[in-house]
Amino acid sequence: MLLLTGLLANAVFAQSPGNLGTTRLQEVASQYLERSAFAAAVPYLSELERRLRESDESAPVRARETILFYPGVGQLQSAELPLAASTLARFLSLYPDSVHAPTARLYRGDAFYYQGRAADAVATYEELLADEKLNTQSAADMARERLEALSIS
Amino acid sequence: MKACLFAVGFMGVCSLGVAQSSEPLQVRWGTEGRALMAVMGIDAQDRLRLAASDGSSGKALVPMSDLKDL
Repeated sequence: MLLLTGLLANAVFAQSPGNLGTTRLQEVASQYLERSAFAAAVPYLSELERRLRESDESAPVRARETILFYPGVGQLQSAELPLAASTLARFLSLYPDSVHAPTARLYRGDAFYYQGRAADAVATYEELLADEKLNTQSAADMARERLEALSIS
Repeated sequence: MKACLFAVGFMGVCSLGVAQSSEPLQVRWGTEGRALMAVMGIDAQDRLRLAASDGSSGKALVPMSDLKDL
């Protein structure tokens, strides 16, 4: 029984993000992202982001773009809304021209919307719709739908 | 008689506790929202007050129209 408990504790400890190699971290995070389990991927992505933060090479900088975007989605998924809003704001300040930027702006608006912070949500959705480089129709449609809901309530 | 009153009172308190505790449910809302949450009530604007059941600080105010699954 003691041996079994020890083995189980060891397996859990070995799977914790800080103890995994970078390749394994990427694999685990990708598996969660493929299943749209964004919230479960957050600890793995955060650890990857921590390891890549100090690198100036172009590949890690590009990888960091995705690694910073999905934790915001994960936090939205698990209703950690103030955290989601600040993670997505950090992503947008670092990567304003990213392909993920319109979705990040929409989700940041959603993070305010589901906290009941109507004024912040309206400002964020309007910012999204005013973006001349807006390339995602679905994000724009969703923002309009939310603005309409907010004007009714 | 005292024991009987005590038993009835005890059962009453227990049933009230069970009725008031909200069971965690897998909830889906909006574009990405998907979590095990408890329904804490409904606010004046008919939005569900949800709180995460995993010990995290997750909570959300979700309009009924945004609920996809409860």
